[in-house]
Amino acid sequence: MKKPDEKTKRAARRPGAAVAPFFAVLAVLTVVAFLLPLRPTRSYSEKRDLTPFPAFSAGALLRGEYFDGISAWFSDTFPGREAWLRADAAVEQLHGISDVTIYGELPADGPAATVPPVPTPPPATPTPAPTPAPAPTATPEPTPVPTPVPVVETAPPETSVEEWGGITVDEDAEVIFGNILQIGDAAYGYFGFLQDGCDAYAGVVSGFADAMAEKGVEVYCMPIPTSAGVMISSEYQEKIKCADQGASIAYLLGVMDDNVRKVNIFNNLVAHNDEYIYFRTDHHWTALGAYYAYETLCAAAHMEAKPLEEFELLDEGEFKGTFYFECMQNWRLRIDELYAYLPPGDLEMKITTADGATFPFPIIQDMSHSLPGTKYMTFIAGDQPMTCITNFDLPDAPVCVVIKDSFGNPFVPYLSQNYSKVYVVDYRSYNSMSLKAFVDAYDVDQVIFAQALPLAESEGTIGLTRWLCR
Amino acid sequence: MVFSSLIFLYAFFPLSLLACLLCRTKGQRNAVLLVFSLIFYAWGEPVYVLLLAFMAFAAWFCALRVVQGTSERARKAWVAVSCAVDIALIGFFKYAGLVCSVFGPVPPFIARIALPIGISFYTFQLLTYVVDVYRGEAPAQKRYWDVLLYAALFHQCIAGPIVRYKSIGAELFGEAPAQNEWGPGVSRFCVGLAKKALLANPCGALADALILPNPASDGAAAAAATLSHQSVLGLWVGVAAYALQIYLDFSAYSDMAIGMGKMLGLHYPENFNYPYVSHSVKEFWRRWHMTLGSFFADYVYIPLGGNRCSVPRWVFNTLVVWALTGLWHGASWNFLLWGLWYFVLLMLERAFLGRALEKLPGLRNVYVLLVVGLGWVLFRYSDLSLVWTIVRGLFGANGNALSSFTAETLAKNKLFLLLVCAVAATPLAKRLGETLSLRAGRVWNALRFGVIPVILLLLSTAALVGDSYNPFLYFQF
Repeated sequence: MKKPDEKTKRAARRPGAAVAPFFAVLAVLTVVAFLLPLRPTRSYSEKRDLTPFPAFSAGALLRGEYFDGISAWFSDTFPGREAWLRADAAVEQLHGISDVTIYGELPADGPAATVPPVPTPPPATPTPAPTPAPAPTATPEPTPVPTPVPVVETAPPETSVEEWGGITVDEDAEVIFGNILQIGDAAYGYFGFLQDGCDAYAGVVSGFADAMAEKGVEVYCMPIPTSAGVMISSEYQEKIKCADQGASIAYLLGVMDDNVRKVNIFNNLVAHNDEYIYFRTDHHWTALGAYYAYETLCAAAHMEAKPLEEFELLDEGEFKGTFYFECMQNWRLRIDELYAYLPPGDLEMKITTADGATFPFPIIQDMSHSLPGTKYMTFIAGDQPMTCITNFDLPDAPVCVVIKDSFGNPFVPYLSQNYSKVYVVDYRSYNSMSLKAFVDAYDVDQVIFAQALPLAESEGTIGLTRWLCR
Repeated sequence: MVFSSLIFLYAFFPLSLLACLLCRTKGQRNAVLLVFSLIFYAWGEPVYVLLLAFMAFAAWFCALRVVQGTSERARKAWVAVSCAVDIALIGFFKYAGLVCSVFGPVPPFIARIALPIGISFYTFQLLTYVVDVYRGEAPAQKRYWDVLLYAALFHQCIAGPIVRYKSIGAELFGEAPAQNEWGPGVSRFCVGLAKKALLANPCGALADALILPNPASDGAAAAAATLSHQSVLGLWVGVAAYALQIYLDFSAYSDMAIGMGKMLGLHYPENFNYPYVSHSVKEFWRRWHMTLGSFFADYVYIPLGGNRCSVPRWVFNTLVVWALTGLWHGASWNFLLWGLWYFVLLMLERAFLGRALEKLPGLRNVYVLLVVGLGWVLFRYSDLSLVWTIVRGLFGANGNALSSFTAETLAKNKLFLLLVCAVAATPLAKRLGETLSLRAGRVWNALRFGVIPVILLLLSTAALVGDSYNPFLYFQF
């Protein structure tokens, strides 16, 4: 028998035709993987920068970190990442029955953190008597005009509604929850009650209000619930172990001193939870939700809320918020529509940026032509360390400062209708004078703490607020 | 580097394969394999590659001395030296912390020792090499590089199967041309990849969601509190998901290793044979991590006397084997208990349970799944209080509810996945493939070698791009 030559033997070692498709795909993807220009540096669906190629160092090399970094870069920036992610999500849909899907971290199955009852008894008169605002000029008429009948009855802290309707789950709805709860076409941030955080936050605000009482400066506290607490029915929240934000707000306000003027916006928001008051793809409320909070604040402060019809409605187009970029199955979310309400009057807004530059900026910036995921600048130029809105039509109205996070952005423009100046301090980035010095320096009459409830009870916010109120 | 990573799939694997294909001789191929294997190992352990090289050197040197030994005593002495080196090094790098913990706080320099990847696998392989040479079952390699290649070969270096030198030496170093099996190799590799990326990883995520990962020592109390509230349904589904994950994960890695070996004409032993269809614990261990079981049988159990001795001695031999089996899996007391759990079960089966179960054929597999599942709980948590919490909770003894919203929803959410995984843990698909092969051989071969691997490769790639959950359970055993 003829002995096979070297050529024949090598041919026998090569892959046959049957496996050619596999090796063809492998070869193509290998070549593509090494085409560096095809490697993305940012994931727009996940809204994050992708892992960069690691910097070389002998130490990192010896510790294995350099090669790990290369592996992470290779994987994270794989060409066609977005398409691969979509394909993976489609496969993941097949993992179970499609009407109910869960991903992400889950809360423990134990009892949800219960909110203790409000420790202080309700005041005999929940709404304090109107306090005449100090008149900055000689004008004898007190401003603002006290509202004889509040537009919305202010609920005292201990009377947050205990049961309410809202989003419920039926056979057609789809629930996805982890850190984010997705029900049907909308997503919600999960909320957990932190009693220690609420106590600490209340202590900071109360202490500041006590200090301000001597100066006759009113301090308002208006914790802002997130969409999960308002839009999802109380019955369903109990089922999914999501802490009751109404009770949490009542507790938080209840443990505050009497010097703090408590603004419980929860009930008014719940009363409107069949309207478009929270975004479906974002953790923020809409401008309409913020308006209902404004109504409640005006009622608590005995001011007249400017009717919504007097603001110019602006359609800023499609909006995709943070949830959209965090939910793996975001195609189920209905894209939001961003509306803004332009306040009337002779107004001017100046922002002070993080580098100290101050310049005028529109209160409502037209972002209708921007990408749907980049519209956070719409309201008061987004999160700036300090902003000031001046209403030249109300020179004699009081001055307020709003301590806010990003929830405050769509809320602040409404205040321009009741104050001559609205100072806005983002406690997360403002690092100049203390709030006490601020009040003195800018002749502030009212201080309004408008912070989202999950942030207010968090350690970071408490520390920053304490620093601000030092 | 792990096989189920994109850098392996689309850089290391194709480049190493291409380099091997370009080689004219087996010697050239082995040189290429050695270079790639050292890169592969150094990728994860740049420093410990020196340890691997030293241990291979010690085995190579001792094996040569064994064959050159002029007396049986000298030959045994060199085997003992080799074993002592291997055991001392694995003892230091893997078990020093555990041993120190017996006597008090672990010294910081001991606590900082990182476990070299795959040390348990390549140490055992090197042990088989020297012992096989001593027994005359394999020739001693004259070239150090060949022993290093045997120990470091990236197919099986860090996660098995444990390949004995005598079973692979001829294919790796012999004169006979390599019998490359491209089709079966590609098919096996892709099946393993898909088992890992598409099945094991989601099962692992489900298990983590329901029964939590093994927490750090200071997080055990919080984890126990959380687990004590988990519903009965949640715990059962979580344990089942973990049982499926650990089988699919480990067997997937063996599949990929075996597949890559076939592509190059290297035939590694099977490591799993559908263990979850077993009817007894004894059978389970004949099907689970078979190369480890046979290693302990041939290199520990039988040298100790096996079962051809008195009953107390046999019990002792068995106890040693299972204690070592447990400790091989990790330097923690729960692994020792996990090994002893099987010792107790095997003793009970031998005493009466085996005979009793034979009268209840319908329940034998249920029994195996139950005791193996409980064993996996022991395997998962280094803090035994968590094991106890889970075991109690499985039967509602924590005061936990029968079911809960999260457990029900998660179970529904992953129902089809669990069913597919359960089927993948049985030989059903294999039997279907054999039937198709008989009835439609050419079409089936075109499908299983040409079409299915491509689909599995693409789906696995999508899963790996989108999946940050990609642990490898046996990575550091």
